[in-house]
Amino acid sequence: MITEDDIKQVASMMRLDIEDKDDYTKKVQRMLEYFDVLDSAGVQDEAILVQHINISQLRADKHIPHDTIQCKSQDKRGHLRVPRLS
Amino acid sequence: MIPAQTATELVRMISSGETTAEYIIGQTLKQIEDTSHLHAFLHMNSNAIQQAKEIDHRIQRGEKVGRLAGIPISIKDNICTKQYPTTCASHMLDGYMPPYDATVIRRILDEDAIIIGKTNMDEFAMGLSTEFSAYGPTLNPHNTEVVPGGSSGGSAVSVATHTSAISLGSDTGGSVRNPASFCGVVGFKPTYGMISRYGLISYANSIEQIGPMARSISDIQLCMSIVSGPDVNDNTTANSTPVSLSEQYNATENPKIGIIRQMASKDTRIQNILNKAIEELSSHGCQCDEVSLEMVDYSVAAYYTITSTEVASNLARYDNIRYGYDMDYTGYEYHQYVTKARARFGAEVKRRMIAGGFVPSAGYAGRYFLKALKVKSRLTREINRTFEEYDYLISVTVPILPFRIGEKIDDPVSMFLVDINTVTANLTGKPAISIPYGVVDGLPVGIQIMANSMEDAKLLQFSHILGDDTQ
Amino acid sequence: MVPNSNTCPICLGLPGTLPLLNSEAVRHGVALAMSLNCTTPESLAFFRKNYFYPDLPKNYQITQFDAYGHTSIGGNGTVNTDDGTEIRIRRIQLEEDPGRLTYEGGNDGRQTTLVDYNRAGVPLVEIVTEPDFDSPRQARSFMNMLADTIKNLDIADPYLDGAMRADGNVSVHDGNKVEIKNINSFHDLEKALHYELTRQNSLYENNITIQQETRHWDERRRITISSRTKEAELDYRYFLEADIPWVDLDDDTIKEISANMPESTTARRERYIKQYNIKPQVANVLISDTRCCRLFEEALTPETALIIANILTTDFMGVMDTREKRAASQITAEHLSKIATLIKSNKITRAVAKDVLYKIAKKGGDIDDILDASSYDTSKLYDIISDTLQKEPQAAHEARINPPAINYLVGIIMRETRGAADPQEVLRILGELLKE
Repeated sequence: MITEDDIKQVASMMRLDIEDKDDYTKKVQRMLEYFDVLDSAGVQDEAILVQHINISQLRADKHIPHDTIQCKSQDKRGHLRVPRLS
Repeated sequence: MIPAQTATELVRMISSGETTAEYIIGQTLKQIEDTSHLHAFLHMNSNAIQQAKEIDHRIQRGEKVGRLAGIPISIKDNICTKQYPTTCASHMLDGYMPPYDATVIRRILDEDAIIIGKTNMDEFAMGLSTEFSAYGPTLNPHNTEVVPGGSSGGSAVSVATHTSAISLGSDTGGSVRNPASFCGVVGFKPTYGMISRYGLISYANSIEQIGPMARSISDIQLCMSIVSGPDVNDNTTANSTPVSLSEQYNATENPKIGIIRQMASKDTRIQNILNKAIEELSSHGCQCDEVSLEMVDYSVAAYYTITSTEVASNLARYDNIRYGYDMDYTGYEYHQYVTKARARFGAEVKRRMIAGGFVPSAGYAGRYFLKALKVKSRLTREINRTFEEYDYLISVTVPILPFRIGEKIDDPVSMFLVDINTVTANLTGKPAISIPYGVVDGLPVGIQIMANSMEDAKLLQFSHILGDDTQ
Repeated sequence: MVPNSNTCPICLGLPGTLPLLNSEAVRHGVALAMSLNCTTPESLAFFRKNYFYPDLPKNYQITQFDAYGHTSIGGNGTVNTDDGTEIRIRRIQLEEDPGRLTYEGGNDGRQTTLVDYNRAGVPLVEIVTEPDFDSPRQARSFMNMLADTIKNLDIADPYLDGAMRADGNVSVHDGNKVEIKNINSFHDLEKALHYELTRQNSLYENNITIQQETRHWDERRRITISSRTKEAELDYRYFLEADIPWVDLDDDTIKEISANMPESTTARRERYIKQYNIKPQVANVLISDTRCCRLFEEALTPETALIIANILTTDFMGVMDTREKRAASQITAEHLSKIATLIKSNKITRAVAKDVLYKIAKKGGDIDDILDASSYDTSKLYDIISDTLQKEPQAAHEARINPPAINYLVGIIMRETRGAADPQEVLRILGELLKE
């Protein structure tokens, strides 16, 4: 069972403010309970399948020029200004 | 006149001078106005007529034009377009203008397509009803009280109502095929890695693909021949073979079709449509047997575990620091600021991110995420074995009829189960098509056919058996 | 470079972009892993390390993590530092560099944070050792060895500002481990570790428990300060990065990389000892600096190899006692070869050679010119000074016990040479002769 505190902690890790904690707790709880069906799939020993690529197919070590991209809140010198860190 | 022709037909008419791009685009814009109550579009191209005129001039001057010259194409709002906003139907990206075009956009523009507008969707593609758009739902043209499916609902409605000949959607767990089925159009999810995802704003990047929607299978083939194949900007496309129009794929004689037992519908009216399709296939010499894919029973749980994990990570970049909307820094500490800025995400998006914070985290890792990856792997091996014996696998695309707006919005899990027939193609990376085939209560029903990886062209060619005369 | 002037949609992590792994970064990483005697995996896998921080454009970092077996670019290696200590390498991982943060109005982050993403997305290797260091000096010596290996492989410029950075973990008396981040130079590494050891020892002596925490090295104040991040909050939720398929490192690939690698420093050491009959201690010093090795090999002839090795390791590396000074020196292989020939044919003494070398290293120039100009200063000056010392035993004695008294002797010599001698030179030679 997950508690409202668990939800609060994860939401804060995700940098999310949630208004109706009770509703989130219920719905996320239902989702996680539903995920529990994975326990009965009997796949403990299954090896993971992944996509593979050869080193020669990777990008070459070449500079790809790009027009300057303007970000939000850049100052005159070009820095991005970000709120202070706690 | 509503431009109801297929893209293939329109290309012929425009380039032969039988009609003009300007006329077709003009009619399309008029139709967009007439169907605006369905809310298929989020942003329009205000230069469409001008662009059409330029194409007409080039044709009149005898210049060579592209293979999509003057064709109105709509684009789901999670595919980056330099000229038009790209918002993923989220207030988090209100008015966002990407500084680059997605690979698919470059490829269709190189063929002189006209991007008519950007279509509505569930916020960041999370949903299967287009009810979760931050800008309001899209309505089903067959019955405005039911959902059009999703998340590419706007794209499906646009194709169904002739406001575009082709639309590019994205399919993470059925998001192209599900609305195609609900709106009565053709929708195609290619093999994973067949179409470049460069410029597709990620929801669950390990399984999703851009997919075309159209009113005919030939149009899907035309579109695939332009957008598919390797792209240096997407490493996962490195080993793909593009779909070619000229090549004739040596169709298997009397192909073997597997009917997936786990994907049968409990609604006999829907199941009857599947039976009709099987009869038609049999009459063309196909050999149809029931097959079993045991892992399908776990597929939806695995699907939501993987997508929650990936979305929590993929959407972390929206912190309103490098791009985003105006919100003053004054008085905020960095983490407080980011939290406050991210309040613009909708509830469904937040819910899935929070679930995604639980499943891969240290305490829950073995419990959910790794098991989901193992189910995905087992399912892939299972389907690969099945394809050793069978050429194609068949089921209905969605086991239920389009539901009423608001009906499932409050229960995440009942919503999940609508995906049961579609997520398998995403988890295993296989190509899958949804073909409109029959109507129940005035609502369309689609048939889904899957093939083995990289057999996209073969699958599309085969699909004509069910697709040719059902327009 | 102007901040944020060299970015692209990928390095800014703009919506819709996908990471593109640089093939050369993989080749370089494998070469480094092999140089540090690490094993390399059959395929490389990449993971996402998720956390919010303004230097991360995507709020996750693409890195490596051995979750499904050994998939990071190197593992389980050992290397020796020049004092012979064996250091075990736990893991080498290839990852992307975040952007650079600076703080306006103070270094403690209380003020506005400034971000520059120019270096974001640049390939980076993190080398994690086992806890095998007994002293800050050893850690610095390891860093020097590492820098040299990197220079030798020509995979990066380790002396570029910020190109090599370190995090140090310190614990005393089996106490809790403290990680120190943000150390930007070798010199600071030694200082920071030293500071931290002192801090922990004094806590220990006062029976105060040492907290397990992350601290930052404050370059300006030269102290470590506690970071305010709570350890418990950090859950990186590592999971597979699907946008980069697993990169196969098959035998052919490994062979190709290995064939293109320069001679390793250990192999070079062996070769110097065998081929040129150089003493092992001399070889150790020589191989510790790739630039010196290059000078050595370009200058040597079978007859002069031994002399050049000695000049380089004692005279040159003696006066140019830091890598930075040596890198800035004007010495060329031609200079060395000429000096060695002059010594070999007894045209100049080792003392004169050392003097010439010192001048060239500082200002460059032609050896003959320097010898002509300095014939008075050096060879004659030596004679004049030793004569003076013999004539003035009392003054020499006083200068030995009372350093300022040396000025009396300098005065005599300047009179003798009618002011032509360089007083600094006179002081230097006087100092040298007085020690004898």
